[in-house]
Amino acid sequence: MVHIEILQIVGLGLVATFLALIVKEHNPSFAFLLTVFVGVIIFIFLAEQIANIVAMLEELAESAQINMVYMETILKIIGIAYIAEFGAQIAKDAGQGAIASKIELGGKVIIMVMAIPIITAIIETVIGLLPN
Amino acid sequence: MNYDVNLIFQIAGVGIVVAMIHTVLKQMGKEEIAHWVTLLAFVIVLYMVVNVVDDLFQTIRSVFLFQN
Amino acid sequence: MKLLGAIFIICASTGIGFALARNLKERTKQLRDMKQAITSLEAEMVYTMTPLAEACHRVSQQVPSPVSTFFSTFSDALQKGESSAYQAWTKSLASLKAHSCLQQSDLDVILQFGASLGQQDLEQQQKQVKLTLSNIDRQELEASEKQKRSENMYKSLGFLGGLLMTIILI
Repeated sequence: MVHIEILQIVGLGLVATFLALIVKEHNPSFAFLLTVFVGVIIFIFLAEQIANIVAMLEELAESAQINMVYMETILKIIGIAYIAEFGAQIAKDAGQGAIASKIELGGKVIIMVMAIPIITAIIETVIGLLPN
Repeated sequence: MNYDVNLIFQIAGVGIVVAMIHTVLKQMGKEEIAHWVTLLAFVIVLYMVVNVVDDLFQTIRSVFLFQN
Repeated sequence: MKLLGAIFIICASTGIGFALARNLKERTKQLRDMKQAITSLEAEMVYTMTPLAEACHRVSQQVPSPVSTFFSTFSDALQKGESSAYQAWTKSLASLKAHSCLQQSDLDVILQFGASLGQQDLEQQQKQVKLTLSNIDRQELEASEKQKRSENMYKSLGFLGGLLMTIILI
């Protein structure tokens, strides 16, 4: 099942590459829109696949009786990384490396902020382990 | 991959045809009209792309951020 | 079904483009006809001294369609004798405007000629004819230049516009 899907992605990418190559000669901005469009389609496709993994992880976490707050935070971090990566790649495709690095920085900072509750929990556990 | 892949060909087609119209208008010395046509087509295609980007963000939100 | 609609749209817009291009071509041709008509009208008036109504009737048989209709309406109006030459001329000019591809500047030149018609002696009339002919010459030059520049543009724009519309709508 999965191997057919990778063929779909590669086929889509190749077709889009050829079309973008042709259009770029005459009209670079349309080629850029084409690239963005294909990128979005592939990302949506991947997100749908990841949803399966997320469902499995949730099941595991539930059966292991881990606090769901941590689980959710980790998933949110993955989501943020995913969005930031997407935006940065689009900016890089358009030749705006400066904006791309700013988007990546934003992603890192927000992930840091999201991770604060987990880090606090770890530190508290470590402090609790230490003898007074 | 239930997405309309035709949209890719549509965008490429619009790009090529608009480039041709641009060339024809430019040859006849009507550059302003040529620029307006290109801009208009760009906005139309941008609208299609933005719709799909919106879809992507909704998908990501529902998968990772547990919001609807 | 989609294909049928696409073909319709492309055909229609290509047709519009060709019609616009044809308009440009017709204008040059009609200006040339008008020039010929006025030259032969001058010949009728100066050399055979035919009355105006009769002369116009003969001229209308020598030139192709939209211009000939103009002269025959004019001569008809004159033969009925219910209005002055100038009024009849203006009235026929209005109907010419509706049926030809001539532009307002071309019509103005012809109107100016009509104002002098039948009011002056032969010599003055001949001068007036010369002036009008040179004016029409200028208009024709301008029209043919415009035709050369825009004819192909209208044709290809019509087709490309239709193609663009179908691609966007499909």
